[in-house]
Amino acid sequence: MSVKGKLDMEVNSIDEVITLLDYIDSLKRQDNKIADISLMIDELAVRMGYIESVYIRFPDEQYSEFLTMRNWPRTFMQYIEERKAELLAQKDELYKEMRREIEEVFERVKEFRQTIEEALEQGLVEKELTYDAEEDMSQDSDASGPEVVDEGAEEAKRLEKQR
Amino acid sequence: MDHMKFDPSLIEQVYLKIDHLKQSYDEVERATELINKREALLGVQKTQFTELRAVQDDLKPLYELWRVAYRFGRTLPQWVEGRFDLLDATQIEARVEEWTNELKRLQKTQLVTEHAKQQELQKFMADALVRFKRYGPMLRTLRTKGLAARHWRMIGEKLEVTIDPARITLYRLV
Repeated sequence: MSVKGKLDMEVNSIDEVITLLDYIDSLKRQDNKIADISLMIDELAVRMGYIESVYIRFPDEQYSEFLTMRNWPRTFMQYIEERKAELLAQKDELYKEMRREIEEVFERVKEFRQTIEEALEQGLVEKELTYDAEEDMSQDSDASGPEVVDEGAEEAKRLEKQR
Repeated sequence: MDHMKFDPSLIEQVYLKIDHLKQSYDEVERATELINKREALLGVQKTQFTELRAVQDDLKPLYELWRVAYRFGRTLPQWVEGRFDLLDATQIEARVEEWTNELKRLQKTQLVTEHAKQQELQKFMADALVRFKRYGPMLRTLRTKGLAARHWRMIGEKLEVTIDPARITLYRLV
């Protein structure tokens, strides 16, 4: 029974009056969502009844447009269903593509590991393997930096001894 | 370690390689995050990129050590052989302190304790910085703003050399 129907119900006893009053109170409570929805549905049912009664008055060109609007919820639902089916079909394809990307990542990781291993073997080099540090130092080369510090320390020691 | 040498050109070459590796790593890490998000959306089990995380653990200290080495190799010659009157003593001391601390921290990592070449490099730079620090007080004193040309003349007279502050280097001074 609709909310309106219940409210219009004829009451013949004090128990029925109390029950109806309780029902009205429950409708007034903000947390009673079921009652809210029920009221909304009743309202929509009335509006739908009106729509159904007027559509025959539209001229032909507007009638088609009216039908499109009227059927929009069903059309939209159909669109969602079709889209869902489409996406599910794409899911497998996307997954395959993603597997390829994952394989690529594993390949890159192998390369990273190799580069790290190579770098771990690098560091200071044997003096004989490089150019003559003293010669470069005389040319004020940047390449002789840390060596200069060594020599500087030696020089300082020599100066201290001289003093 | 006396027979070993710090070759800045090789250091730069290796550092640039590691730097490139780090950039590639960041790129791949972003890709894996995206893959995991997609997997969640598709409702499939997330792929574990365990080896990638292991690479990160090794790459981080390696990158940090070689970044210090790269900067060390580029900057130290400028401090030692560059124009003395252009040196900023405060900045140099701060930089030396920063590198020293970073090298101390790296000394305890597996990268250094378990890899002889990395240990050698770390030790070389740490020792060189200790030696360089000895010149800190001298550098600070001779780079004070109050030091005028007449003071340089006096220092030169004491040392029995002619000192031109615009041409002298730290190396020549010591």
